[in-house]
Amino acid sequence: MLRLTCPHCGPRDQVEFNYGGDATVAVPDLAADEQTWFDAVYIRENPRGPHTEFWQHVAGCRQWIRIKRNTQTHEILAYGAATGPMSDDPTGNGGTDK
Amino acid sequence: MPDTAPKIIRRSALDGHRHVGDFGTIKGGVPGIVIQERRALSIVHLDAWADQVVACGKAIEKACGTAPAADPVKASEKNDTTVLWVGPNRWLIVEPESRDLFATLSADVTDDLATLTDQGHSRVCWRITGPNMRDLLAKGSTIDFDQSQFIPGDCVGTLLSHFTTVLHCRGDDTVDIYAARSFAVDLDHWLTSSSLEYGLWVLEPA
Amino acid sequence: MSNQSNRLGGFGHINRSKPIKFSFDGKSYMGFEGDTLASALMANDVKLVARSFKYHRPRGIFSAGAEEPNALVSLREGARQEPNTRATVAELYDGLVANSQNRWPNLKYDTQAINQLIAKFIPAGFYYKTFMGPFSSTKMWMIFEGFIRKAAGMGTASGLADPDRYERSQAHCDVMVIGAGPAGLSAALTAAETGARVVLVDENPVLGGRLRQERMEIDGKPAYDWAMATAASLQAMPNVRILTRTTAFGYYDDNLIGCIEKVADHFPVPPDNLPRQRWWKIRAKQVVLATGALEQPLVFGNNDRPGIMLAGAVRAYINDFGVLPGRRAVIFTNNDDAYRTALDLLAAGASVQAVVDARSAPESDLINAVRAKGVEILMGHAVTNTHGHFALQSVEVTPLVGGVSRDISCDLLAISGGWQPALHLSSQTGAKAVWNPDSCCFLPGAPKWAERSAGSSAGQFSLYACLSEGHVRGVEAAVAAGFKSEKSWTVPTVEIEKPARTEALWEAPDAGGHPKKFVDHQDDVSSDDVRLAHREGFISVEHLKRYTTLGMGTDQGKTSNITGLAIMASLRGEPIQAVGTTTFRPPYTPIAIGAMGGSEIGQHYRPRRRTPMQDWHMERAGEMLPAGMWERPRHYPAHKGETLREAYIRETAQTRKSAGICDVTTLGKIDVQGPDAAEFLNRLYANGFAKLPVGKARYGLMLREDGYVYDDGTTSRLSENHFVMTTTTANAVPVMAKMEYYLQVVWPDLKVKIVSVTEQYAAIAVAGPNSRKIMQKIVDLDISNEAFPFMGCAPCMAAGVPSRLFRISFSGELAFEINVPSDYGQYIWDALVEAGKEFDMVPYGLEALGNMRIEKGHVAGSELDGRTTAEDLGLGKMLSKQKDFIGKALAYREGFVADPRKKLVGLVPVDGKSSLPNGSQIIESADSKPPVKMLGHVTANGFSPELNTPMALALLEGGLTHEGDIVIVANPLKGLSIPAKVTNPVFVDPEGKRLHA
Repeated sequence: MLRLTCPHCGPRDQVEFNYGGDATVAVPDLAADEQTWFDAVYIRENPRGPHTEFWQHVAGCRQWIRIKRNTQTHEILAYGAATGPMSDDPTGNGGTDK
Repeated sequence: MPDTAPKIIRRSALDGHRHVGDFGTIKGGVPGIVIQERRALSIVHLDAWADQVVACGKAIEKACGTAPAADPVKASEKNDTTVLWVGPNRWLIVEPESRDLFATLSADVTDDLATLTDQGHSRVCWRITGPNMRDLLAKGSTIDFDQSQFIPGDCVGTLLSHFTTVLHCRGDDTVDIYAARSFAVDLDHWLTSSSLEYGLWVLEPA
Repeated sequence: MSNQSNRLGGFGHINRSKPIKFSFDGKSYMGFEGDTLASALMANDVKLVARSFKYHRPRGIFSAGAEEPNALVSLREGARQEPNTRATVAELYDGLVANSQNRWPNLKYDTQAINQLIAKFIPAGFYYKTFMGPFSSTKMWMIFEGFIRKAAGMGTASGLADPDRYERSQAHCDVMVIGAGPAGLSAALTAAETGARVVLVDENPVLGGRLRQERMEIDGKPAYDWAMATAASLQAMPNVRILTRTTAFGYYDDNLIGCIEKVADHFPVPPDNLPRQRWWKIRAKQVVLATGALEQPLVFGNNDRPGIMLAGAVRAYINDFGVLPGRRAVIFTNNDDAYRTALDLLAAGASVQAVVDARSAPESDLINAVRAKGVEILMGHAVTNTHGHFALQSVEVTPLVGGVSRDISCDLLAISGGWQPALHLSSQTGAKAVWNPDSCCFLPGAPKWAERSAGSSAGQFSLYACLSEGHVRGVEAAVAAGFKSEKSWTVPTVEIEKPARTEALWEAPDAGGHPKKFVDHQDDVSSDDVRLAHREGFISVEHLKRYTTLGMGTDQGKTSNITGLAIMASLRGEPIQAVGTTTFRPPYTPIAIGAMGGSEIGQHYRPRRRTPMQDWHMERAGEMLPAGMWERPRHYPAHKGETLREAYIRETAQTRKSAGICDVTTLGKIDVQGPDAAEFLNRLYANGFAKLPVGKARYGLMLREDGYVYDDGTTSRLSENHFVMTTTTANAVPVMAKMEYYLQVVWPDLKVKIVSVTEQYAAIAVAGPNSRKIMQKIVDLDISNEAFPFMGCAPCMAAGVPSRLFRISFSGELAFEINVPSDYGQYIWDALVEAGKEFDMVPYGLEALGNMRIEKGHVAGSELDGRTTAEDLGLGKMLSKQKDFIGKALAYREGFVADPRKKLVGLVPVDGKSSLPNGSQIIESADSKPPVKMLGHVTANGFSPELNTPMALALLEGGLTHEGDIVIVANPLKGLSIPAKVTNPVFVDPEGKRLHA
């Protein structure tokens, strides 16, 4: 079971989170055309290796967060809040280990 | 409407489901776990605008005597008021029901500082004390409950068994557990049945 | 009662002051506290304990630990019966009842043993070949399956519910040490002395590992004393948690170790409210694997008879349990270690007939010590066959190069093929095991997670290496976890040995005849089966495993995999490293499913949500139905004997005639606040919300990003910047999460806050023409049609309780919904029930609720199935042209607008009587021949008391263009084929007059 670092609460077990999909795809502007929305909704890379994904800390602070995870090894490479820069300290020792 | 409203008593989610008494394997007359529901609470959910957190903290202090703790995953307390961190810029303000907490807060925490939502009936709170408090929690949550790691003042949102909870550590062997009202009967059963091996006292609600 | 004739005086760590009574196959025996079932049976000279899986050959006790392939028994009786328990790890307790299995009628006269005579006709792959080959088109398999499953089998489950409790627990630590032998104890001690939080687990009840089983010395005293002293020091340290009887069975991502603690398996019934077993999940910053090594057997003719045992196990029985496994022993080995067994047997008073050593001319102190005792040592020899049926009588010994075989009489053959590190946990992480030709074993590969192996699990087999490497790895782990090592440590004084090299002997040759040579005892896989697999092309180890079942037993090949793959390597003419091992997967040893379930069974299988009025419903409802995580009343029988159908039709009719009351707390309620709240809702909903006036509610339709319908509900504007949204019960949680996503990720600039208030309010609907009169009795608001029109909402006091009142309707009647703080929910419910008495108001359940919405053609979960568009549901006009919203861009795609799509219609049976079951397919004609075109399906059905007919909602190709047509509602599963007329989906009050009354 993965140990994910919530940037708000610290490292927690995977059971506290819901997977939230590919974080490299941006939701288009509402006025964007059909093709742009089609690509955003359906087209995915499915990489083998590092991948940034959304998770939501549903059992804790309810925040959407980003986790950079190696899909091949399950190694956690970085984490971050819903927006803004990500930290590359995967253990989150900067935070509180709760 | 009649002129004089009848006396209305709040009915806790556990009313009719609580079994008060001694249970399980109590060694030497001392229970490992004591469970007591803290009932008739006023709870207000407060969500501060990101650029008004400092001002909001001051407003809360004015209304309640204590500002929220400076750090996340921490609670602050003053007299009967507890301010629980539940997310970035979000707190639950908890008091035993005595004054109109929502109105009191609304007076100081204005719209431009935060939004307020009455949650007084949405949560059930258990106070758990006893030498096996940490063993009990470890049965349900993946948080590190070692005395060096889960310390008084900590306030963590976590999954306890199936249940989304806020755990407020109040002492080496005391924790307050807050959980959604609709799950209260099932969580109460989990707490009590998981405590039997330590010996359990269930007290009348406080 | 037997007299423990094989018990040794002066040996072992059993507690002779605590005799224990137990039974095996109905016969009573005595053992001592500290015995396993295997050691106690051995003490009582019980040699035959099981029959083999496939050939039903007599089998005895083979090992002294978790690797046991043979001695599987059924433990306990009744609901606690536990099949396939290894007698070698079952702790003896007073009153233990064990029975042998896989035999009929009993162990000695097992009729299925005839399988041995036809063994050559049932080789590996027999079932595949027979039933997938020539007979595959026949029903042979179906006929024979029952017999085959019965004949080739293990113990049986009780079929009764397990009466014991199982639990889970979690722990965190800086350093986790797995295994408490010399390496593990050293590692735990040195790690703990740095101040690190240490968890030490061991599968045995007492710490010490092999130190309990060997006659070795540490600091001039028995090694066992050192182990006990070290264990005591660890126990006294507050930063150390010791879990005995705990098997670390799985190594998972991010250093999570799964363990099973057998809390109460050594009691007849778990005492003191203890769980039977506990499933621990231990999250460790650093791990030291000190899991020891597993002795490997040798493969030779008839190598499975009772009395043939691993050499290290013989020492364990003598030194730990004080039991002599045999009086006249032969040792067969390819390494030095088995020579210890000769010395221990001699010390215990047995005779050692010979040591048969496959190596040509090894020299070492240990060999010399045995030689000095006058024991015959046959270098360059192998055991090639054995004799005896229920017990070993003699072995046939043959020189490996030229020469004549001879028989040696014996009752015990102690064998050793060398030691294989127990690298299961390290391999589970993906660390690829590396073959070491010098010690003829695989060593753990380069670590993937924060772990290291120490002691014999790292291939360091000497006591000195175990102690010193344990120390080094313990310190290393603690330092890696952030601690400083300040204390110096000296390795205790132990004898430094220089053993002669181990030489591989994967299979002894035949010496006349071709006896069966078992590689995998538990699965009855012989070396011939490996050769067959090779001949037929199953040469990868993974194919070898699946074709022959090698290593697929409950022991997972702990004493067979290495030999099997080594034989395959030699057949392929490749090095062992190239052939590799099969994948190691958890669990290391078998685990009870109950332990996995933990306390999450029965009531706790999944949590149930209760509304504030739940107790009232449960007292009166005919049945409670799951609705998401909630349970809702299905109907309220008016009297005993009223059926569900009668009840819901009565509830529907009475609500439409006068009034009904319903608990609607389960709908999701979300508080939406802030200056941009209206803008946010406008983006979420397909229809407009920006201009919703304060004090009004509006029905909202939400699309998914892909353009399909997602959810619906009413949303009310309480003040300029404050809305309360409702969702369907099923979507309350996902809709909330999606809204959080939009606010936190997509539109963080919107000044909006949301919070779920589902728990805060009890929601009660009162519907029907008299609902106003009833509601007016308790609220302080003028709720006349003029003052409080349809879709109005307002705060109010209800019977003294601050509440929110809405004039909304799902039933299609004049209706109100009141939200009150949950702790007052039952109070207000009671007040409304009382107020409704004079109008004969009825409570109505889910069934009537659903029935009334069908009558009104309102869509719900069965129509919002993720495949329907707004247009399909007749809601196309709700999609705003004036604004952009989620889902709009994809809602007009080619496939969404191309006809014919399946669209919402009503159906009534032509005969006016037949029900139209949900899920029935709609076809054109009852006479259609396959393939029949399916035009649509029934989504919901009920009975309209007002129209006095069954009715249904359906999704039908072409929708209302077929209004008035007759179609066939076909349900082949129920044998139904019902003509039905296509109608408008709104059956009752299509003009909506009642809503506005």
